[in-house]
Amino acid sequence: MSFSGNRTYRPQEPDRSWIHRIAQAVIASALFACASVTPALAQTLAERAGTLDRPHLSFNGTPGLVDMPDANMMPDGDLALTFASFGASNRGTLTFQIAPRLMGSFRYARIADFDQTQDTDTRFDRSFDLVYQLTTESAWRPSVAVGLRDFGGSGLYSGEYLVATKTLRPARVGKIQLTGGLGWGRFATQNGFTNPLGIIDKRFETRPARGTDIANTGRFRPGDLFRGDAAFFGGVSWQPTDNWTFVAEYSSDDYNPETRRGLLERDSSYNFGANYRFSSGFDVGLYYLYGSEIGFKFSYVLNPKVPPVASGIEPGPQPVQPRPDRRSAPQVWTTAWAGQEAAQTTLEQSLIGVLAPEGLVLESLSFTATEARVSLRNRRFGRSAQAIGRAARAMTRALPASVETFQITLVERGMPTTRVTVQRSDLEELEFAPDNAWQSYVRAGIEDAGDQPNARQSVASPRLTFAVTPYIETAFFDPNAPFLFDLGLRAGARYEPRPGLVFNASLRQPLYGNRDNTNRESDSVLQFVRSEQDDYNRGGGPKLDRLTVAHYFRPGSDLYGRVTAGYLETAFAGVSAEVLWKPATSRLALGLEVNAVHQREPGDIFGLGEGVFDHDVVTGHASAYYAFENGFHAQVDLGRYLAEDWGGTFTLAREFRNGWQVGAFFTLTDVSFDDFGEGSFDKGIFLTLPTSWAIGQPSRQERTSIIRPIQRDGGARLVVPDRLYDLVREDSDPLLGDSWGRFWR
Amino acid sequence: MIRQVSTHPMTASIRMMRGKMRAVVLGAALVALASCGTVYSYNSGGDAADQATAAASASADTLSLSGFRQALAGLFGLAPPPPRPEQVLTPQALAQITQPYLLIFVETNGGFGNDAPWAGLAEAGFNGDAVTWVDGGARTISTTRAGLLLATRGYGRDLMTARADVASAVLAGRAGGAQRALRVQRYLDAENDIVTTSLVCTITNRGPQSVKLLTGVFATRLIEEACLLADGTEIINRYWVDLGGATIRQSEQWVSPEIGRMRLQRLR
Repeated sequence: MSFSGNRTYRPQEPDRSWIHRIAQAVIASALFACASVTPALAQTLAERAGTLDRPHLSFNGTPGLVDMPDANMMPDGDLALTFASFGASNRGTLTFQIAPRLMGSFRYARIADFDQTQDTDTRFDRSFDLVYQLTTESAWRPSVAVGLRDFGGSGLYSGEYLVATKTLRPARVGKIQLTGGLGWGRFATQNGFTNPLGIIDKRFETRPARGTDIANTGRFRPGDLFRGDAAFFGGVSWQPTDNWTFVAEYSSDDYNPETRRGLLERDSSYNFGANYRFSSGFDVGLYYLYGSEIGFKFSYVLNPKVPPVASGIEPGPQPVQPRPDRRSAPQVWTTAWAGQEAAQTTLEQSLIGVLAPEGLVLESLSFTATEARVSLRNRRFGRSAQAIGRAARAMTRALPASVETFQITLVERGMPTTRVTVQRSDLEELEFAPDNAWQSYVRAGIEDAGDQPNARQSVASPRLTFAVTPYIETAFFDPNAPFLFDLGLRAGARYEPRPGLVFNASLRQPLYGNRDNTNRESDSVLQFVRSEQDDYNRGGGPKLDRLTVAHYFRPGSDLYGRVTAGYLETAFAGVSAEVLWKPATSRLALGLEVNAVHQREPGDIFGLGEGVFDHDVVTGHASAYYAFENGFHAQVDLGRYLAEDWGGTFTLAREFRNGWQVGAFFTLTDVSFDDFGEGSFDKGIFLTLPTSWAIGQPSRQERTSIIRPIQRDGGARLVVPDRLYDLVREDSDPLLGDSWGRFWR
Repeated sequence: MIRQVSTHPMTASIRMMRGKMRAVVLGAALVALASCGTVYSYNSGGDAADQATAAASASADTLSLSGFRQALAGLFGLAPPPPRPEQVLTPQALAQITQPYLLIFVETNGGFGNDAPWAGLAEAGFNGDAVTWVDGGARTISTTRAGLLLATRGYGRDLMTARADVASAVLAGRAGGAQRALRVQRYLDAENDIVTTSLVCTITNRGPQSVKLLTGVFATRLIEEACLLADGTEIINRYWVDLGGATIRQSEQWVSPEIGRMRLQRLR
């Protein structure tokens, strides 16, 4: 580390003697030794995430030129939402940079007048892409990426490509990128030639003909990839300033499906465009395509690693209240208080006084003269480490000086989950210690609280709560309508006579919505467990979302248990039982769930299903959950689904330690692709956005959106409220330890 | 308890951090869309404001309607500009403040102009040499008793901890002239990791300078701490130290890349 070449830094009378240089080197090496956590760079979060130099996005929502892709990747974790429109084509794409060199997209396209023979004339098409960067760019080597477009959708846009991009930065000109690619499938429909892969195997020269009709959809056929003719595409992009990008390309897509239907005049293979980037992450672009159409594009990119308000703007913690020195003030350290009758009530009241402002609810308290054991419900902090840190500091303000050891047990739905033991003298010592996060973590005792029964009576948690709130329920990408919703008022009540025994009711009254826009008669050959889901949401009558009684308990150490009975979800009522094994320090968890349910009658608050809805089923799964060290989270569920089909669901998600999740899942069961119908098997993507990330205030609230290309009856799971894993994992490692930096917030 | 301090007449109504408002408002609007507050709520005991929405949904936080209206007004630039400190801290108001009082400004567009958000803070706690100050929004700042910044909470990219041992010795008057010093500052990144920033600083005594604050003119000497980040960026902390004692009367101290510097003024 040397500062001698720095242009702006002019210390007064810099001393350049050799002894000072050595001193400087010693100082610098000492700095690096003590700064072992991360490299010493004062970067903004955006710089750290690399989001200041984002690539230009194409009409397909992935990095590229106009209609053709290039080999750029987005910064790791970027989430891009793109809307593009030209002629009859409208595309909305969600692209996620899954890992630094792997990118996945979900696309929803709308082509007006595409299906002129059917009763609906507009085609809504859903497709998935995957792109992998084979080589990153170096001084002499271009970046090279291989992409699979629409590999699991209707096949309308199906194509594969291999593309290379090289960046040039000539002085005073800005950034220039040259792109050249070789495409197959839809990318090889203009000026295609015999597949060079035919050298390996003659079969590569012909691409199997598949219709783009509904029955063929959703099947991933690896044998079809990179087959048939190939063609070249390419182009150039020029970025003279940070805000402007100009692109020109040669497209190898002949748009035959559109031109054949008279939806596009393709007079040229050359496309041009200009894109303007606002600093806030918004991009707008104007383009001239195929010699006949003006197109526009709009995109918004965010990165979970760059929250709008950095570390947060929540109220600060209560300062630690240090105790006076024992020798100079021995009377403060008396232990006589512990024997007094009123001590319990007095301490409870004083603890409630300091915990309530932090959104922490006192469940139970027991103590000796030197130790206090509290159980808490955390109602505010998305990261449990912050709840524990706040509780510990608050306790220094409420407990007599002789209490040295704090045992803080987190409680979820009445169940004690994890117990953290901290020493009061450590809190006093470390409050302003430079390395206090790490030191407090190594000094804290973290263990499973499974030996602790549910409290018999909660000190401060209210037994009965009732509230009326506005709500909005949404459904995306229905085959007949891109966006369905209803909004209105929801009344909810919760009664918890004993910790862990909870009665819940939730009733909603829709006031406005467009749920009636879709009314498909299910053509499913299976029991209509989900394909008539519309019926449950249609109409203006009140809907009983939930009416349950549940018991949450700890059957033993590392074990959690739940039994729920009643109207479990919109479409099913019955009994559900679950047991979960999740040690406090394990990355692996195992669960078992069994449910016996009967389908409910659509449009009837309490009625059980009759006729086509008369359906009894025993369903359940054995589940394994694993949190990988690199931030990925995997889940496998094997068992029986609602339509009495047997199979498994595989889920993989990228989890950010601020609560963001982006993931995908698919389910394969013994229902054949033909019996399943459109889509062939159940699959989808999901996004979880924590409220705290968006507003910078702590919150345990988060919103999960699940996007399925289509919901059918095969591989459908019961939606049970408060499954154990998501309920308790926040309180145990790895999530607890990984977020320990929040202990001192 | 910290929130009792916030009812101090001078700190209660102070609004600041306008620059951050828009980001917050956008977020708040998103949340409001999903759960636009509570229409009615009841619970059988405990802190009603805190536990209002438990029953109806999973929502644990609510936005009050007035807060939402205010946020909307701020988004469209309809809210009146917040008052400046001299409008609030009139001589009469200052006369009522007898306890230690800290006035802070947050750097905006590279300076401390009329648009710089500000807040008044009162003492809320002591731990050894550390003092914790709290503002009307319950945000806190911790300094040494002399006035060297140790931590901030609630201002965005907060300073989690700071180590600047040599600087505090210099400020206490134990050395003069140019001195090299280490500074280690820690932050929380978006994935709750602690990030360490190390700086190499040169401390220089710039000699006597008088400082004019709302509570008077103070005779001080100016100490400058010029620090280099590892990427070559230079930041300069300035301390105007009372000639009479070891109190930093006014200072400009760098907090983080996102926040920039804060100007701290010890009015009382």
